Amino acid sequence: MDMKEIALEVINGKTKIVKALVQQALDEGIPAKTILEEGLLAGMAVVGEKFKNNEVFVPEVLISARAMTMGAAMLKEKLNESGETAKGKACIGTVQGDLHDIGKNLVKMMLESKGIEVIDLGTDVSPETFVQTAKEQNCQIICCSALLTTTMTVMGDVVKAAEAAGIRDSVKIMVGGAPVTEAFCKQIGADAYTSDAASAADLAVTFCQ
Amino acid sequence: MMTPRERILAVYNGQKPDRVPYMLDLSHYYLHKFQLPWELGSGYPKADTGLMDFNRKMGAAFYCPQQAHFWNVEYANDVKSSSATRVVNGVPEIYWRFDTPIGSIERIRVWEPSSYSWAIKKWGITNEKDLEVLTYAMASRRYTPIPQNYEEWANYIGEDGLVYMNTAYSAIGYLMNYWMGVENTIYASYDFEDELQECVTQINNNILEMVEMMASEFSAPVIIMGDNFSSDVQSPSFFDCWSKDYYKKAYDIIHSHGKKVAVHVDGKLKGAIKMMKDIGVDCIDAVTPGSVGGCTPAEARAEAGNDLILSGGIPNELWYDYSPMSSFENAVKEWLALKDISPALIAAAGDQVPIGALEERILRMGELVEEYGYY
Repeated sequence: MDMKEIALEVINGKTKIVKALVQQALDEGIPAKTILEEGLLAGMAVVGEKFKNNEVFVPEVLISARAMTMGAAMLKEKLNESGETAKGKACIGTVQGDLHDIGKNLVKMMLESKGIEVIDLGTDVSPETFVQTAKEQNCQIICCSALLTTTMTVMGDVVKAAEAAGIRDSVKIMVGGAPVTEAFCKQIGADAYTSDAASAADLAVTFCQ
Repeated sequence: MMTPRERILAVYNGQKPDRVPYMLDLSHYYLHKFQLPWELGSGYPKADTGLMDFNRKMGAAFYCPQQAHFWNVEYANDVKSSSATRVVNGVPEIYWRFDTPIGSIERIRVWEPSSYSWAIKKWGITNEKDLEVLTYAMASRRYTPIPQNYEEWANYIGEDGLVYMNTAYSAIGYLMNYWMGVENTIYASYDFEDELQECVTQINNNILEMVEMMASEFSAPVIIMGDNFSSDVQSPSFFDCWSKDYYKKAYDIIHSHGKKVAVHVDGKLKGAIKMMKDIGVDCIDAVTPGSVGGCTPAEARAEAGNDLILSGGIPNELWYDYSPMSSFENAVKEWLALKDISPALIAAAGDQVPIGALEERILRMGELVEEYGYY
């Protein structure tokens, strides 16, 4: 079976077909890692590039990411059995006082599409929770999302909390969301700002290397 | 010298005013500044003269009667619509609920003091059955206009502003912003497309009745619509499928009554401007260049062409002290420079002045418009 079939259906966002093809591939004895990387993640990589280039938009990304996630869930046990490890680990959340989650969810999906394990802290996340999670779970990256100018200032508190906890040098702090800018990122001492979820995932991979 | 109202009307009528109009939505800023309650559930039955006076004090024309009560809504006898504020574990929340013969749905917002806003706590629709309940309820809505309430606002602000009328969201807007959220609405468009289409058709047809009422029964020269548009969320293909027909019909209704229509695009602009331009909108409201809009003022103007009004210009982050004053001033000047390309231009915020903004910047914007905004 050609893994491109799976990749194509991820691009098309066909969840049911992706699941059926993943099962078929497993039944044929194809290694889970191959299915994941050459099928699911390869398809999502195409979607990510198209998203960066404004060829597809949030709806298409969500649908494709859902197909990928559902397919990947079927491989989890096999991947664990074979000792496959993620490329890196990140925790992500929308900052305290902010309940918007779509941006955070998109970034999470794109990070996972790059093989990064993501701990989703949800919304309204305190700086202490970000830092504690990163510390306890050995995360290489903290990803902070905010949709409001009134809440994005909390990102600065996350940076300070990481410094106070003594983990600032061992964790990268990425920030994003509609009102967030490169200038703001520099001002609060975060490591990186990206304007879209696909770029965030690309950068996160480099941080995990 | 023209009045603020005359300037705004001139722009909408395709004429060149003496100066770029300057108007601001200060509603949220004002509520927060004076710690006034935001009656999201019940709205405001009387004209908010305090808000309008505040606009006057800040030197910015008034245009946005948030939560104004311009019509009564009734449902069929077998639909019960209820909404109330309650306190749960010490935190205020508002619920909106429909009880119908085919089921009930309820959505909840919770008060978030740090953003001085009502945040989504619980979406009301999670499956096709819930969607059918919303369809049933919304399709039975009937509207009774209260034009005197609009006149109360318009008479009070007089020449110091132009009171827009706000329509409801489109069906997709309702679902994305109120009842399902963006993600679930998008999944629904793939998973149960037929049920969603039925819902969208019914709700849109009902809201078009509201639009007809607004255009025919009220003296408001400008009607504003919009689903908090962002072209990356309601992409051109998604818009074509789910919303374009509704918007085209709404614009045609409004124009048939000799009125103008603005659409609120407070997210990504590329593609969204063209989408709306192609179906005949008069004004893109809440233009937010920079990271939110994803384009520069010049790029927005290039996509709009010279006839489509662009209203907005100053992103939220520039109103705060973590952005240098020079950045704020440059943004205002860059926006005002568009007047050299076309007079189809209004200076405003993208999309409203945020809570906690520096008051000196509101006043400074007025000074800059006065200095750089004359033709």
